[in-house]
Amino acid sequence: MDNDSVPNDDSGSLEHQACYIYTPTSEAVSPKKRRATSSSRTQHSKREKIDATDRKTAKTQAYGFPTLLRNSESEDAVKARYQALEKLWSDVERRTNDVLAQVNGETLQAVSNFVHQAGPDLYGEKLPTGLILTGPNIAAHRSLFEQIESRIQNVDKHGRVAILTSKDSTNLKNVLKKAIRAITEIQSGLDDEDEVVEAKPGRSTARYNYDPEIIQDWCSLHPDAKVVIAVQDTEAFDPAVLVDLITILHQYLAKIPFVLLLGIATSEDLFYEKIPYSIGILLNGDRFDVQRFEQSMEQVFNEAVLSPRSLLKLGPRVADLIFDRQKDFTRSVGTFITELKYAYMSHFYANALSIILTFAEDDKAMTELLSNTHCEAIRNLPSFRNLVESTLLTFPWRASDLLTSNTILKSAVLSASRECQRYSNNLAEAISLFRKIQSIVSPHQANDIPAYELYSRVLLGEFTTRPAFRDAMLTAKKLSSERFHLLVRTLAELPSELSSTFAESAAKIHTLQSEKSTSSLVSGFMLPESHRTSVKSGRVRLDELKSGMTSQDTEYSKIVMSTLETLESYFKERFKPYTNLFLHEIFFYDLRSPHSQVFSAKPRPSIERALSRPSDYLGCECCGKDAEDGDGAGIEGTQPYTALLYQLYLESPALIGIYDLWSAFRVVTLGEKADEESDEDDEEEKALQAQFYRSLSELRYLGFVKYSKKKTDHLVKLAWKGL
Amino acid sequence: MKRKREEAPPAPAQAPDTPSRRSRVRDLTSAPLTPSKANGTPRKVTFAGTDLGKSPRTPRQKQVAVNDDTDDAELEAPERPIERTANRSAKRKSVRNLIQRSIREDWDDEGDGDLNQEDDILARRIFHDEDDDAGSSESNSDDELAKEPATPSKRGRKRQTKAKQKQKEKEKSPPPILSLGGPTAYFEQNRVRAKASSTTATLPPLSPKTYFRLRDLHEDRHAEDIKHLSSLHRANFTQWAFELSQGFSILLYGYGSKRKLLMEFAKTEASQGHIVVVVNGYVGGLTLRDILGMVVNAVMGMNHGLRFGSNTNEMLDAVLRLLDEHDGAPITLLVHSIDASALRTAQTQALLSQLAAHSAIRLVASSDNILASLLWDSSTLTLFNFVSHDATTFVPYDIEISAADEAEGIVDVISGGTGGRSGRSGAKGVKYVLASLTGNAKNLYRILVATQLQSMEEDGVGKDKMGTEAYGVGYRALYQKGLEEFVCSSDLVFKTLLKEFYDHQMVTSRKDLQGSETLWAPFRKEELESILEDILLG
Repeated sequence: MDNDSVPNDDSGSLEHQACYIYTPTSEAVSPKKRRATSSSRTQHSKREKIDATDRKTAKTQAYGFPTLLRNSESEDAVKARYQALEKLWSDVERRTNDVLAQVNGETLQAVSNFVHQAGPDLYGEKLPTGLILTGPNIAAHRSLFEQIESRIQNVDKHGRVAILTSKDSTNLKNVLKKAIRAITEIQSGLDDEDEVVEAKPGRSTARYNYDPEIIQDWCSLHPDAKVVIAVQDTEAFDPAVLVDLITILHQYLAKIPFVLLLGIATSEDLFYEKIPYSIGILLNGDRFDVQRFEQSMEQVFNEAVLSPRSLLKLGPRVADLIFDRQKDFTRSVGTFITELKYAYMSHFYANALSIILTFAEDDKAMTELLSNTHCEAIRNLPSFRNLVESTLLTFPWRASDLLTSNTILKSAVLSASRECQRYSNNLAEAISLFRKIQSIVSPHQANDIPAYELYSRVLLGEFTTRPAFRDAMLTAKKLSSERFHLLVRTLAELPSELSSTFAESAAKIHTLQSEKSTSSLVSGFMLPESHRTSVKSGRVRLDELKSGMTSQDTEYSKIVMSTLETLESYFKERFKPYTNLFLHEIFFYDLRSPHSQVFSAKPRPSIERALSRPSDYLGCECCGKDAEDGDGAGIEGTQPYTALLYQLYLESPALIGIYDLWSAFRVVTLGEKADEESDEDDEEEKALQAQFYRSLSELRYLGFVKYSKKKTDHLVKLAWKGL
Repeated sequence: MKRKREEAPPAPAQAPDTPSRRSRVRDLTSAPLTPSKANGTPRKVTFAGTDLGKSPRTPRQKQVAVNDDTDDAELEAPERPIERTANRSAKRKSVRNLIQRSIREDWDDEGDGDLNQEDDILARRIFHDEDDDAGSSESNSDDELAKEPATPSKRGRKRQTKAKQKQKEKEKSPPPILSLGGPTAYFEQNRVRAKASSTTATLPPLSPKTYFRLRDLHEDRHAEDIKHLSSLHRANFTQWAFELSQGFSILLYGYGSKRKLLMEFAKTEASQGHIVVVVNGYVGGLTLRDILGMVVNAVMGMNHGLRFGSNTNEMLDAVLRLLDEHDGAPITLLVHSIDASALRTAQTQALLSQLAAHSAIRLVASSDNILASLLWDSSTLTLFNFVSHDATTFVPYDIEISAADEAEGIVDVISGGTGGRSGRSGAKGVKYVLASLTGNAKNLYRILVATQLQSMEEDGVGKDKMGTEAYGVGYRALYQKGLEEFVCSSDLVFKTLLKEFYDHQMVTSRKDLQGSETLWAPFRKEELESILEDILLG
């Protein structure tokens, strides 16, 4: 291993080294660096190292960001952008982490209680087992089990937890070793030889480091502690090892208070099918459901995006992109947070005007930081144009002020930033109000459209025309009076400008209800459907019913009517398109391009494209699209050889003769000359052949072809284009 | 276009060829001659449906957009000149072939007779393309007719206005594959168009020395453009560094070797005071332990004297603990070709992702294979936390290829030692292996080779002929011979000896239906002779 690390060499000769530590050849290695890499681990050098990195980070903080606005951005502004990112994101991150910690709170509590109570008096001779139904998102399991571990181990202090994953399940010995190490915290050295643990005083025999009796010793020192063995991914765990493990745990149950936790991503039934009955009967315990993805996702979304404390919001297109991907592929809260972070990052990294976000709290800084170039940049925004065009009609002088005076513009920016915040706060409020209505009106559908899916529709201002919205409103109209009362009361409790109105209506309904004590109130809207089936009889019955309505009922109908009208106009008011706002480019991040590239990259199409249309990347004249004026013959031949070969490959059948490919290749590259008699010793021919081999190898390396085993000198086509 | 035409049902009246001949020609579309004919087509093989065109991160985005838009309008124009020249060159070639055939006819291999005939037909056909042209255009219009609700009368009319039709057809001539998308495109591409020609011609071999000399001699006419392309990527270095500092890992994809680009990035990273650990994923013998060991070296210095057990999982745990304590400069882990065969197991990737997830590690990796993204499941992806960037460089993969080829033991393929055949290790490799084996093993191999050569000799095959099952030796027969010559004393010993041969792919075997096994050495007769010679002399 050591001879791999030739420290200082020119990288040319290192290219066949498996791995090495890079040292720049041109510059002399600075003494600081040498110390960092060298083995001196004294206290002194360590401190120096820290100092060095501190200084370095301070430096990169200023220079990690590029200077924008054609390099005219002041250093302070760059720094301000960086700090704004740090500040805003760390706030969002903290809040989302809090939410995430709570998301599993109930499950954690239940599991912890279970562990605490598990014991012979409850479960007898059976092994107490908790089945944790984690759901299919395996990426989140790790953090869930870490939460369980820290909860049981550090918060509730019920004992110690050993988390086992399928990668440990190669054999029983490894599993036990890992468990013992986690529980007893004995660092059994870095050697993994089956070393013998020192015999304790009073013990005569020494033990191997996979002997469960080590845990027994540990337990004698910690009498009340439970020993929790948690298997993170039960499905992937080697069943044979799992069975052995359970048997051993069960056998030691009398001596060691074992508790088994099994993480199950699929279903209980599948788990029972996997283990033999004889093992199954050794287990006894409980099952715990982890919160559904949609719920936790919505909670996180509300906190990270909708909360008034998050200044930067997602625009509809980015939101669609992210949530489409969530729906189709990832389904993980973690990825959402990373993508949100990336949105923050690219906004502050590439948008010079993002410093405006910092002025929301500190308008004095604005006058200092917002330079003339910034103002120019603001004037170039599409939303500025909208603003000017709209003011032009009413206040022409103000429009010209905005265009000419930077001071006026700055004050406009300030008011616009307040306006943007107000808009998004209202939006958040309205969305939560709507969700509430939805959950009361149609409880079984409540989970169908979570807030994060409403969001982009709402931002575009088209939500009020959506069937989902109409449905909710219509169903609300037809609610029974009890439900409607409940709805109005809940709405009154929500903090919104309408709460007093709702409270009033609630009170009125309440009085009407008490006046009409016999039955529930009937509004004109809730006549049963069946009465409308036939027109004639319907009318009659309708009239009957109407005439049967008491004065309270009529009163009530009016209240229902007016409440819903208020609601509708409220939503129409709130759900306006965000693009109407001045500076919406700053407060809503809505660029698809880096996101779609970075998170759902398409390596294969990009390779295929590079090879089939190299001029897209190379931008060269010779093999471009200017074929019309060229004389036609050489157009193909000028392309890079691998690209040529790839295109011939596309033309070929599933089994390709190398010689066929070669002759085609030769004709394409040589063009006219190919017709001349080929001479095997021709140097040019040989050079071309070398290129042919090289390109062929490249295609093979990229995974397009492999050598056929069936037929000599033939290639098998492995990929088709456009997947 | 040409191909499409031939696909169409032959028009009975006009075509000078008989239908049967035509259909044979169709089968031969990608026989050695035809690809030249199809010369103009490859560029047209793009799909309207796929969004290949949308990659905003690629440099020269503007141009891309323009290209995409002009796709259809512009594809019609270049067709004609290309097609014309392609036809011309194919014609010239076919003349030449006809002449050659007639000269060679006497001494050509008997097995190739059939092929010659077929080739002749093709060549003659191309030669007579002038007359043929009308027919093929007609057949194409027939093809179009078939799509419409064709009535006989209409058909007749069309035939009358044939000349006009031809002109029209040339004007619109939609590229055949362009309009297809999704599954249809798959079948279009995988359709049995033609058998690969059964030619036994092989490329004249190229010695490794010549290959490397010529390769290095070669001047790429796009050198300037390629340089410009990587300068565009270099401009992103600050962005990459920023992304790394925010806890993301970077994954580069796209065609072309990203080695040089990444090494330049390593330089900027090192100048920031980061420790850069370079991993050459394409190197064959690379293991995760090497990487972990090097990370430890980076943390502790060269002579740390730490010992790690044989279990990689535990080693990773230990390394992660070490990194927890590490408070020096961040470590940038630079992995060239993270999808190379050495790192291509789920286990390795899972462990690597855990390493990458550590806050002290900044991972920068490049991927080359078109299926690279299949390596990672959602949990490894979460740990890796990749942001991907298109880094199409168009730089040849020279180092990666040679390493990959070496790793698979087919260095001979590239150098033409076996003329690009599937034999995993060439005859040269066999000699090295034999040199390291015991006398008994050598003798056993000698028996096998000699017996095989004998039966090949009896069959009177040429020097170039591969050893196949037909010339193989039965398992029992070989064992008996081995016993007779005191090479092996028991079946067990015999099997042990054979295993060595299997491991180096010096022997191939097949069991027939009765379960009796036949063994043979998969080399050409010529090579077998030289192996035998070597054993006897050595």
